[in-house]
Amino acid sequence: MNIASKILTPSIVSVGIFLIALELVFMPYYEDKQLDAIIKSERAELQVLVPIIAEELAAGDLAKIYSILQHQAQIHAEESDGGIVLYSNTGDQLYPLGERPLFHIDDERYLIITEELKWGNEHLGNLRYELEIDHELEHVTEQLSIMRGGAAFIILCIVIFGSWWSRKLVIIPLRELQEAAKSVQKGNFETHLISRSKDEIGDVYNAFNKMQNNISAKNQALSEAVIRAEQATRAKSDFLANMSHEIRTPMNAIIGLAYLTQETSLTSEQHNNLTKIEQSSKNLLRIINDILDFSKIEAGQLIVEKISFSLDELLQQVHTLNHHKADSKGIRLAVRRDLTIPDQYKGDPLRISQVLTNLVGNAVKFTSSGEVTVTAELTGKDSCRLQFTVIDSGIGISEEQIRNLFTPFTQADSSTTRKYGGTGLGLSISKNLVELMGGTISVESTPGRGSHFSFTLPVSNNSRNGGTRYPALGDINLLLLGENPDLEQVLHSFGISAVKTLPAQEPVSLKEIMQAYNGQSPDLVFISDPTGHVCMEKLVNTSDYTLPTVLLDTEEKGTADSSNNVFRVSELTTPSAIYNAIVHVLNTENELNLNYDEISEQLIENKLHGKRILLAEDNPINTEVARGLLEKHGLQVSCCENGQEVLKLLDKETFDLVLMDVQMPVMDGYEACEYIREDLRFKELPIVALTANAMRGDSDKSLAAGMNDHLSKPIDPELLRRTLSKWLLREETTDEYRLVTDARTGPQVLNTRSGLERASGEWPAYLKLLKMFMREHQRDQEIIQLLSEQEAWDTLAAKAHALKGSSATLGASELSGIAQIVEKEARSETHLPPALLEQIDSAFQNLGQVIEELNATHGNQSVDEKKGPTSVKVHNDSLKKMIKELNQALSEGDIAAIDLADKLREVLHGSDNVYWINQICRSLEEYDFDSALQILLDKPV
Amino acid sequence: MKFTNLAKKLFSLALCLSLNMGIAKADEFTVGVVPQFDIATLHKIWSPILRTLEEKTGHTFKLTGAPNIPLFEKAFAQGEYDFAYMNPYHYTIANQYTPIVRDHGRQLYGILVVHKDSEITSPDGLEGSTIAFPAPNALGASLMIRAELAERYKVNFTPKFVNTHSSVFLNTALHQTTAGGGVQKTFNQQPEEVKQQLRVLVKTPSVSPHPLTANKRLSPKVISDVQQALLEMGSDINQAAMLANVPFKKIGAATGSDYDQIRNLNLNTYYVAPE
Repeated sequence: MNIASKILTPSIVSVGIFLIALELVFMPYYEDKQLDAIIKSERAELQVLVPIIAEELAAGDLAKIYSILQHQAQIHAEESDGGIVLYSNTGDQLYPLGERPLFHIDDERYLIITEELKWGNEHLGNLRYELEIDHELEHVTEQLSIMRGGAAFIILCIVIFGSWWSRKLVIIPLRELQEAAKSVQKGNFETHLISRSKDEIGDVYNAFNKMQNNISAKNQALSEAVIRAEQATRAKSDFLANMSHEIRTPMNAIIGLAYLTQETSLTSEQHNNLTKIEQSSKNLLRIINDILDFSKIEAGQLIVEKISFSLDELLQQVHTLNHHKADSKGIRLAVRRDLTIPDQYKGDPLRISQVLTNLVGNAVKFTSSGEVTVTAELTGKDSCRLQFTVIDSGIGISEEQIRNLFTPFTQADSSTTRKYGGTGLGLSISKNLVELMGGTISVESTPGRGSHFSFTLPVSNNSRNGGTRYPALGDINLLLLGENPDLEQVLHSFGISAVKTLPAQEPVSLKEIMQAYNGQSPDLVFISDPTGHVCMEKLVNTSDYTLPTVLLDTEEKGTADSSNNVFRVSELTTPSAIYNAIVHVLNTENELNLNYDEISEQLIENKLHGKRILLAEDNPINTEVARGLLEKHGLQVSCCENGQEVLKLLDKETFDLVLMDVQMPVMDGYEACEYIREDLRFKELPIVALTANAMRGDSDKSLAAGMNDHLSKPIDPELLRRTLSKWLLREETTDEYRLVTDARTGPQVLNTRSGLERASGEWPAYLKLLKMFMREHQRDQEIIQLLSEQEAWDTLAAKAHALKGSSATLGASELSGIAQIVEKEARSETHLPPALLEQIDSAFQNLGQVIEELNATHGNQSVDEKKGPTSVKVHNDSLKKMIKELNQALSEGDIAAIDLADKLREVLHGSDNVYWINQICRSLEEYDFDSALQILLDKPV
Repeated sequence: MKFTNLAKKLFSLALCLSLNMGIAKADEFTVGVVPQFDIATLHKIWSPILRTLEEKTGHTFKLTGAPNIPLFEKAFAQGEYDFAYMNPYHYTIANQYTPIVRDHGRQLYGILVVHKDSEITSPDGLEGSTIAFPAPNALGASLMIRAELAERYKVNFTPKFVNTHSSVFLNTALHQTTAGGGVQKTFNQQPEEVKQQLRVLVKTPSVSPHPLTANKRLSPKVISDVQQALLEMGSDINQAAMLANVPFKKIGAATGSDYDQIRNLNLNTYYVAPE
C-alpha cells in the first residue's frame, strides 16, 4: 500500500461507518417519523370533519353528511378507494348507501382510522376512514433515496477532495522528494527542490536541499582532492621516470666504459679498481631497480606474468644468486623441495625469484652463523598452493617489529639500518609482489632464535602439468642405499627402471655391494641415507673405488670429496640437481654432443661482421659506450644526435639496422621512427629503441611507434648482441624457411650452400656435422610425439626450437621449417596432427638420403680422421678452454665474462646438462660476478 | 319630462319619508323569492325573467330574497316585497298579496315514502313511528302530509325535521325513520339507488302550485301590466323556457279562489310559527 491509500484509508473507513450508521439507524428513524407525521396530518384532517358530521348526524341531515363525505371521497379518491364508512350508534352503516368498500386490513400500505362521533355526551356513531399511504411511503422512500444519494455524493466529494488534497499536500511533494533522492543516488546533484509549504514537508525539502548541497560540495572537494592526488602521483611517476633516466644514463656510461676498459691491458691494481667500480655500480643499480619496482607497484603499473616455469630452475637460480654471499659469511644455504611434486607451474618466475632472493638476502644479512633454508612444497586443499619458506637462525624480529615489517621504508628498527644498511623497501616490495600474484606472505619469529618467512601462491591444476623433462637414462642398474620412497619415485621418473634398495647398515663393503648384484657391479650407487655416508666414507675414499656414486648429503655430514666417479648433492636438493649428478657420474656423452653449435656461433659472429648500424644517441658518453660495444662485434657504426639526422643519413646511405635513443633533442626516436616507417624503402628496416626509462610502457610505446625491439639502459652487452643477431640475421632465416614450401627435392631438403658456408666451406667437416646431427636427433620424432601426447608443451617447444636451430644452421631447410611449425604449435599448446609427425619422419629420411648421396660424392674429400683431431675432440678442447677463460674472467671481475658466458651457452645450447651456464648468464645479467663464478665452480665437471 | 320625473321622484321620496312608507315607489319594484334554492340559483332563474319584464313594462325589478324561509315569511308578512313568489300556504296566510300568475301545467301534492322492504302498507301502520320531514312548514312534504295523517288517518307519530328532502329520503332509505314526507318532484330528483330503496305509501290531495303575488298596495295598472307581460312571455317559446325554470311550465293567470282548497285544509294547526 502506497502512502495515498494509507492516508485515505482512515477517512474512507470512517465515512463507511457513517454510511452504515445512516442506513441502519437514521433512515429507519426518519421513515417512522415521516409516517407518524402523515398519520397525524390525516387524523387532523379527519378531526376537523368529525364535529361537523356529528352535528349533521344529530340533526338527521344525512344528505349534508353524504355531500360532505362524498366530497371527501372525491378529494381522497386518488389515495383511497373512498374508504370512508359511517356507522350509526346502533352499528348500522349510514354511509355509503350501498356495499361498503373492502378494508385493507393488515396491509401496511393502508392506514385505517376510526373516530367516534359524539353530540354532547351522546354517542352517535363511528366514522371509519381508510387511507392508502402507499404514496406517502413511496414519497418517504423517495426522500430516503435522495438522502442516500446526497450522502453518497457528499462522501464522494469528500473522498475526491481528500485524495486531491492529500496528493497536493503530501504525495506530490513526497514523489518529488523520491525523484530527487533517486537523482542524487545516480550522482546528479543539480536537482533543487522548491519548497511550496512552510510545514514539515517544507522543512524536509529544505533539509534535503541543504544535504544535497553539502554532498555536492564534499564531492567537489573530493574530486578536486583526487585530481590533486592523481597529479601528485603523476608528478611522482614522472619524477621517478626522469630520475631513472638521469641515473641510468651515467650508469650506462660507468658500466659500459668499465666493461670496455677491462678489455684493454691494465695493471692488476687498475683492474681491481675497475672491478670495484663495477661492483658498486651493480649495487647502485639494484637499489634503483628496487625503488623503481616500488614506484611501479604504487602506480599500479607492475603486471605479473603467467608463463610456464620450472621450479627446479627457479630454486637453482635462487641458490646460485645467494649462496656465494652465504658462503662468505660462513652460513650454509640449503635449498630443497618436496621431491614428489611436479616441476612445471605457471606464474611469474622472475618475480617469485625476486621475492625469494629478497627473503634469502635478508636472512643471510641478519644471520651471523648457522643455516638459511629455502623449501618449496604444495599446500592447501587439493594441493593447489605452492608454498615457499625461508628459515634462518638469525637475530629474529620482535612481535612489535613484525607489525611494521612490510611497511615501505621501514626496517625492524633504525639501528638495523645503521648496522645492516638497506633501503627498507625489500619486504614491502615482496609483500606487494606476492599479493599481485594472488598469494599471501607471513612471518613468524623469535628474537635471538631466527625468523620464518613463508609465502604461498595459487597454482591452477592445468599449470601443474609435469611432463617428462628429463631424457630417459635408460637401463641402468642402480643400487640405492637407504630407503627413501620419494627419491625412488624421482629416480623412476628419470627412466631408471632397475632400482635395488639396500638398508643403510654398517659396514658396507664393495663386496657386499657386489653381492647384491650377484657378483656384478651396479651401474650406479646412490646413497640417500645420512647415516650411510659415514659408512661409505672409507669405501668411497679408497683409490680403487671406481663405481659411479651419488651422495645425497642434505645435512652435509659427509666429508667425501667430489671426484670423477663420486658426486655430492648437498646444498641444492632438487630432482634436476639429482639428475645432473647422475648424468655427471655416469659420464655420458651429452656434454660433447652439440659442438657444431660453437661453429655456428662463430658463424653468427662472422655474419654480424661488417653490418652497418646507424646509432642515434645525443649523449656523447653513451654514444661512445654503445659504439664500443657495437664495434667489438665488428659492426660498422655511424653516429648521429637526433631523429632528423637519422632521416638525413638514411636517405644518403644504406644501413642494416637503426639503434635509436627514444629521447633526443630536435626530433625524438618515436617521431623519427614514424617518419621512417612512412617511407616504403624502410618498411623492413629493423629499428631498435634505446630507453633509459625502466618504467613499463616504454616498450609498448616504442613498439607502437613502429620499432621492432627495445633495449633499456644501461645497455647489457649480451642482450645487445642477441638483439642485434635476432634482427640482422632475420632475413636469412626467413629465406631458408621459404624453401620448405617449395617442391621437396634435393636442394630444398638440404641447402648445402648455406650449410657449407657455416662449415667454412669444408665438405668433410660439413658431412661430419651432418652425421653427428643425424645421430643426435635420430629419436627426435619419437620424443616429439611423446611430448605432444603428454602435453608437455614447454619441453616440446624447447625441443623443437633446438631442432629448428640446429637444422637451420646445417642448411636442413625442410626439417628446420617443420621444426618451426612444431614449435609454433607447441607454444599454442595444440596437439600435433599425425600428418606433421609423418612429415618429421620423412624429413629425417630425406635428409639421411641426401647425406648418403653427398657422402658418396664428397666423401673422398674427407680429411684423414687419424691425422687430424676429431671435431669432437677439437671442440671438447675448445670448450674446456672457453670454460677456463670464463673462470678467469669471472674471478677477475672482467666484463668480458658476459660475452664468454654467452658464447659458452651458445656452444652448449640444446644439451641437457647446461643449467649452470644459464645460471651464470642470468647472474651476469645483473653483473653478479661472484654468483656466476660460484656456479661455474660448482658445475658438474 | 325629465324634470317632471325627477320632481315626481323627489316628491315621492319626501312623501314616503313623511308618511312612513304609505305609497309604493313609482317604477322600481322588489321581487321576493322564497329561498327554496341558494341565492345564485335563484338569480340564475329569475334574472332573465325580470330583465324581460323590465323591457316589456318599462319598470325596474330587483330580485330580493331572505336567507331562510322563516325570515322570508317574516318579510312578506310585513309586506316588504312588491312582488313575491311563495308557496300556496304562505299566500293563504299573507293578506297583503294577491296572486297574478301560477303554473297551470301541474298540481302540488305531498307524498309519504317508506323503505321498500317495509311491511307497512297503509298509513295506519305508521302509528307511533318517527317520520322524517324536511322542515315543519314545508307545504307538500310536511304541512299537507302531517295534516292528512292527523286529520284523515288519525295517526300519532313523532316528526323528525331533517332540513332537506334528500335527507328525508336518505333517513327512510337507511331505516333511520320509518317513513318520510316529500314531494313527487324532489323524489324524482333522488339518485336511483335511493329511489330503489323507497316505496310511496300515500299521496295527499293536489293543490295549485306556487303563485307570483303582487302587493295589494301597488297600482292595479302596474299589477295588470306585469301579469300581462308574464302571460305574453308564456306564449313566446324562448321566454316560456325561462319561465319553465321557476317552474311555470304552463303559465297562466292566478286568482285568490285557486287557493281556497288550501285554505280549507286548515293547515294553521300544523304551522310552526317562526320565533
